[in-house]
Amino acid sequence: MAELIIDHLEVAVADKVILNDVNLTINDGEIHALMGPNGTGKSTLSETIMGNPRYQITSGRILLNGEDITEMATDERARAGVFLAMQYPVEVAGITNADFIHSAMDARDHHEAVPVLKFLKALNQNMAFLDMDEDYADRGLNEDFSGGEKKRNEILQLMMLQPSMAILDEIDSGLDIDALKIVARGINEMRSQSFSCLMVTHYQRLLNYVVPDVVHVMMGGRIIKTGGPELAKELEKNGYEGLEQDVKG
Amino acid sequence: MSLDELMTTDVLQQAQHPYYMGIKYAPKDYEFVTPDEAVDWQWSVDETTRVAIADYGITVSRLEDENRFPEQVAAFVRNHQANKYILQHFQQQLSGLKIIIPDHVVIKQPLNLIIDLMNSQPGAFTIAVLLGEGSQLTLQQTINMHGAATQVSCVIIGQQANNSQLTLATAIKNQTPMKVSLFGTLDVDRDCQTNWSLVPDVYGKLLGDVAINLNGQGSTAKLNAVKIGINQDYCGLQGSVNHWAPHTTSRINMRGVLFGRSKVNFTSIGQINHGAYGSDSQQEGRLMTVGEKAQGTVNPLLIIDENDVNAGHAASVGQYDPEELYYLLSRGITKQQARKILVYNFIAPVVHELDDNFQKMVVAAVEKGAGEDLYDKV
Repeated sequence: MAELIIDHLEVAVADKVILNDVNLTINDGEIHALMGPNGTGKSTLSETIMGNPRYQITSGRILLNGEDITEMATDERARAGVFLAMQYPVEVAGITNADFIHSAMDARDHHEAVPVLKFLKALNQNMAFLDMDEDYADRGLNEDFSGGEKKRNEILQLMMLQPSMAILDEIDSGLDIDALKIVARGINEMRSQSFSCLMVTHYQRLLNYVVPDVVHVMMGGRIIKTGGPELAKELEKNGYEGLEQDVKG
Repeated sequence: MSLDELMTTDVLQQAQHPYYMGIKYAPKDYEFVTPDEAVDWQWSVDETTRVAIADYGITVSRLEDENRFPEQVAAFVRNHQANKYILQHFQQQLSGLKIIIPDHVVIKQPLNLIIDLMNSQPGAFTIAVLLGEGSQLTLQQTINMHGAATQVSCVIIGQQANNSQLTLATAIKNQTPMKVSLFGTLDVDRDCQTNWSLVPDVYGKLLGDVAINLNGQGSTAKLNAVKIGINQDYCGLQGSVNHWAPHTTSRINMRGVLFGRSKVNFTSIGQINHGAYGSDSQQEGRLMTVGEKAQGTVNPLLIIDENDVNAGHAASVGQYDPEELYYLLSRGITKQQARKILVYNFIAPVVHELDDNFQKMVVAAVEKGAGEDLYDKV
């Protein structure tokens, strides 16, 4: 199962309300795109689903596979199957990329150690699939990775951890077309009935490579319109302003 | 020059407890009364080191067996005669080790020297390392304090002749709470490389002052220290590099992790004296305060009396980086494990300079401290 329900969610940062009555249901196996201009609350929603302590849920609930995760800590949510590919992944030089991913897999399996050989085989396969050089495994976590390499490394973690629900926060920004295709290949590889995904993006470009089932538009902390993949194309043509007037009108 | 000539009544009367900017220590803690008893100690080496000592003509001798007061030690006393603790140290019976490495000896494998102190009374212990011209050596010294003594004073004196390379690691370990003072000076001639790492795994209180003097041009020094503060540990440590010659380079890196109610004051000094043009002095001092009641300060000082130089410093005292912690948690890693990763991440730049055995010592200290703080807050 891979079902996420956002139910009347209101979120504040430092007592300022950012999200207002957000409702969203992602069913098993669906990929949704969340679009909208800068500063409308897309990243806030992503971070809130992951449980970033900077964001306070003032009302509403988040349900994952029927379980209320609203009060869960970040690491518990991750172990329950939520994954967030971050917009700006941090660098932690003191742990190697491979050790970090291995530790995360062990934690996901409730500290049942994932056998080393099995792990390395999967890591090498996925790295090859994402066109990543082997030495990225032994480098510090994201240490001195370029912006594009960091994004690719987020997708590597996604493929290794196999979460049931992934949020990809602007996974496409700062990528050249070749890197974008590789990242998209990784996301498409994950597609299955037991994986659902929310892709947050500014640009329609990503949606040419990962075709979403549903597209939402967020403005002013609310989802103002929901539709199929054609909604993204319409947005590209008319812009967000056109849509805003359309909705108001 | 004899010791009596050095330590005249005038000198003894004028000596003071040393002042270190930013280090708040209790002077009485490191004072002790002469028990007039020799330090009970022994030294040992592993097989590789034993063979190397024989093959390369290294002299290792007990200072107790010296007929005259060694000139290097006398010079150290003369240069520190205003420091009451150092005079106190040399008012005790001279105990310790002198290691002489001849000229043009290149030893690739690291040598391990273990010193076990078993004294039950306060004592003073001295190590002198003299590295010959063109020689290269990696020396790891572990000073274990087993005895019931509550106070120990350690002095480390080093000299490097021209064009030599020394990697020196000094660890001090004890089992019961103790008050330890550590004074060390490494004098470096021209075109040398020096890398000195300190691992004061001292349970109790430590006052330390270590310095590298770059006396000859073209030399480079690295001075590293890592302190894991546990329980009520106190550590006041000053690390300094003095540039006396042109085109000399120094890097000071001090890291501390503070568990429990431990207190750490780090002071680092990069001093570029007049005439040491073209020199470069960089320093970094960082503390991670894990224990809620832990306290620390970092005091970086640059003292520069020359125009054409490069110098810089960085300092920080703080908890975990919340963004880094969040990133690790978002992958399902538990809070305690994530915190531990961040602690190791924090000390990595200094710990990477150490060999396996010394790294293990640091890891053991972190695990011990983690037992108090990384788990119960989860």
